[in-house]
Amino acid sequence: MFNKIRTIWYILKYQYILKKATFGSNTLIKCKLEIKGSGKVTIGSGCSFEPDLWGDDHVTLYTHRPKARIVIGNNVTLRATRFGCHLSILIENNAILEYSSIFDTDYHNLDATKRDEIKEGGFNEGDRPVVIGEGSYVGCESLCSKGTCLGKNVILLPGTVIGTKRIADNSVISGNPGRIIKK
Amino acid sequence: MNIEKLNKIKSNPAEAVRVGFAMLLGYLVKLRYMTKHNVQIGSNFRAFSWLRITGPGSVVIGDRVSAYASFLRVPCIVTHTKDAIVTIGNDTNFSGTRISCVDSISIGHDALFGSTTIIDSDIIPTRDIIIDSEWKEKHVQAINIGNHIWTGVNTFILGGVTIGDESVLGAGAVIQSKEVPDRSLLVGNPARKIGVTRQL
Repeated sequence: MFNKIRTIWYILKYQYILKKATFGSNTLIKCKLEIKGSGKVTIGSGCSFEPDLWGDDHVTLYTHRPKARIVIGNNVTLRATRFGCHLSILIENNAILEYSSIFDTDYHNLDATKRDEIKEGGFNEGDRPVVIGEGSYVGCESLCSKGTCLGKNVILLPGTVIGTKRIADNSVISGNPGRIIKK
Repeated sequence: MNIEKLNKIKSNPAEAVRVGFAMLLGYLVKLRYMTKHNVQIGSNFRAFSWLRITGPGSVVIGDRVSAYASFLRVPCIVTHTKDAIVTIGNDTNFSGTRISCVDSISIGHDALFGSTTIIDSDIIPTRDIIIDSEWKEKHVQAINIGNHIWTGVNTFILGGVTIGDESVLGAGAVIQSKEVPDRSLLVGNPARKIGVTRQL
């Protein structure tokens, strides 16, 4: 009951008043949801936003540039996941994301003299889009940096750090930097 | 009350008050889980913060255990199935430890935990996942942790791990499907042995 009221409130706020996101049908929001920035967020049908198993309850979808897009497919479960987007983040159907961070940019230039300037077009050279494949699982406190491209049914074990890598279907990844431990 | 204890209280009264409040909160925690038959908490339980236990599985906690909060994390034990068993030995210290159990997790005596996350399955089950024997065989492995363990901040103990007595896990270590001998010092992600904690 309380969750349904919360869902209606968040959809009203972000879809109709602020016009930052579009929600599909049967979305259920059981935690605090925060959508910030000038980009657009698209959420498919049947998604659920849940608190973490142990009590962390913030899903944050931050788009820092006008052209930034976060696209979330159908039946995706987000458990207190945090996003930071300059270019594009795509999450395909049936994925499960735990209490983890996903971002597609370095946020700042590597050159110290250019670190404070914001580009006109909006993108740094280092930005790469992130794709989380169908049915994938991202474990808790893992980190998907720019250029991560996961295939179908990939399992990222807790504590993994991964970036600028293509991972084949049905593999299990662990470690920092992330390596394939099972196929 | 014996004289040794009285002298201890006189030397550090503030600590004595803190322990007293912890004992009180410990009784409250016991009272909260008294009606649940799957939860057993031993004598002299000290709760410096609340302890959350959820799920249908059985949780057995030994004597003289203390629970602390660290980094605003409350220690929390979650079981997913009726067959899940979490056993925790005597004299264990929890600070911000998070446990998720599908099959079985056993922890020995006198362990000292930082803000460690202990998960015995690859995937933390959601409501859509049906936990049957096939799924368990694919994704779940039991965890055995020995006596006198010490784990650092932000460590992960994942499925299929057996840790020997008197081992130390350094800060940020992630250990997965590995057998570790007694008295080993482990660091890194994935964890590797860099030395021993005590020469025999």
